Amino acid sequence: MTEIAQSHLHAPKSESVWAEFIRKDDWWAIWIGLGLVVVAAGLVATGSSIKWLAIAPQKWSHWSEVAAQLQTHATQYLALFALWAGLFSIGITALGYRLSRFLPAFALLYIVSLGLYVLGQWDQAAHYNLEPPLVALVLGLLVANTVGVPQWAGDGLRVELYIKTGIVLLGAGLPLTLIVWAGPVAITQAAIVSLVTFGVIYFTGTRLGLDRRLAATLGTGGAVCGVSGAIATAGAVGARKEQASIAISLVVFWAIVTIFVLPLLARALALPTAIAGAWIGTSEFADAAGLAAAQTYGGYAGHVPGITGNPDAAVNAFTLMKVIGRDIWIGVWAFVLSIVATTRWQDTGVRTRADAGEIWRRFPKFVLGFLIASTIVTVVATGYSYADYKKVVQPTLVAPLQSLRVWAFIFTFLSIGLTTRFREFVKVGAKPFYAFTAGVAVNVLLGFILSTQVFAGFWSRFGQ
Amino acid sequence: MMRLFSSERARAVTQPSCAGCRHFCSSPQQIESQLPGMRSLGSAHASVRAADGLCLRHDRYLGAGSYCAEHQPRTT
Repeated sequence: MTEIAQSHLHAPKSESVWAEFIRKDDWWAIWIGLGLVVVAAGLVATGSSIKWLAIAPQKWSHWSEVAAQLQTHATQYLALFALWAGLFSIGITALGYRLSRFLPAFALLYIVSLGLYVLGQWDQAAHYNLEPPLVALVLGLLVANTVGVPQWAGDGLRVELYIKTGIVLLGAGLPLTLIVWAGPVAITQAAIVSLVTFGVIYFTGTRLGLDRRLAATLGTGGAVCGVSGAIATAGAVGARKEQASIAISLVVFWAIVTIFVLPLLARALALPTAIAGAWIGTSEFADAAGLAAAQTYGGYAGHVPGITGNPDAAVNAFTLMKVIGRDIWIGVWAFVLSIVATTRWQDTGVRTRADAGEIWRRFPKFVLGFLIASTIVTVVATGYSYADYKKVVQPTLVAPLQSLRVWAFIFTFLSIGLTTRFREFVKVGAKPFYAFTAGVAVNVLLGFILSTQVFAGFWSRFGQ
Repeated sequence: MMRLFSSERARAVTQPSCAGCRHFCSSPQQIESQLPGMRSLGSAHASVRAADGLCLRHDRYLGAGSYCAEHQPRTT
């Protein structure tokens, strides 16, 4: 700890109550994502659209077609870069990063993302397993763990800002009625898996002799929301710094493994897209990792024999399961565990305060943006007949926002790979590894049973 | 409403707590550098972190509202 320079230990300032709105990436995802949704909806209302700006590569089968596409739409790709760079620059600056570092890093990220997006549109991409999320991840991991990523580029690799912005935009493609209809099932399924997984990790860990604070931090990391769940609990119970590091390393390791394994298993079983998405949403640890897996699987629909369903159903089911079913409960887990730590666990010399306000303070606010985006598009759509919705709203509002969402997700997947350096992982030790791995096994198996057996009928209807 | 939105740090500086202690570091950049892997699938800028930080005295990751007998108010 001594390596933390004393110069960084600023005296506390009397912060404005509004500071939260500019100091957290959740809120910046809302400002950026919702801003785009509002502008897009406003343009549709005036008979215009953002679709010129929300450019995306089209299907191709020969390199000459790619060259022609890029040449024809070069101005649009430049304009889109300016839009993303401009919006993210505001947020990045407010979060305390240097624009001089962010802009060149983001320019590089955008160019490589464009290449990956183009590659994903190749008509043979699915045949060669060149799904953009997996290629982005593998490419990023290779670069980060071989030649390395310069430190300045780190400012452009803000995984959480990109993924949260993408999830807010995703809300625009999900009718509020669908969220209300599917929400209770998602919450029920997620609650069963979260409680069982937490129990397995916690009790295995404590039986193996792990400190309760470590066992609880590992438990919420595996059961609720990956790194976010782990750090929320670590702070709430007052875990040692090394315990937080152990939990983070294990979460990242298993999250990366399951990004590859879950789509492969679901593909081998030829699961419909919505059922696979629900399974991934139940059993993957982190939002960004799970979306990589779900989007990969959605890409198989129509390309891999036997895999049925709407391609978007995998991502939609995943999001409902993970965001609505699991993420929003982080604050509750942290609050309950802080009470347990304060009242029942061994005194560490530091008193943590249990406070119900914790539930709101730790609430992942970007979920509000996701719900508001869904509400806006649902309200806009109510003014149209189904035929007009398909003719007007879908191509001028929903499709361009979906295209922007895909861009945000590709930035995310590439950033995950580029920021994951295996040599930085701390030595976790055998006992934490066994405890967490036991939870992973139960989580994956139980998530599979619930998605493909218990709630299979529901998720099948969801995908139609 | 205002109470809901007030940050834990802002609330905590009004009473002896880690938020006002010289041993407490809640800089997101420093937290991310001290907890390897946090940036790849998480963020120290996330709402879920609230105002948690690292205690340099106890080597713990703590909520800003925590406190201990070794509390030392920041002087600068």
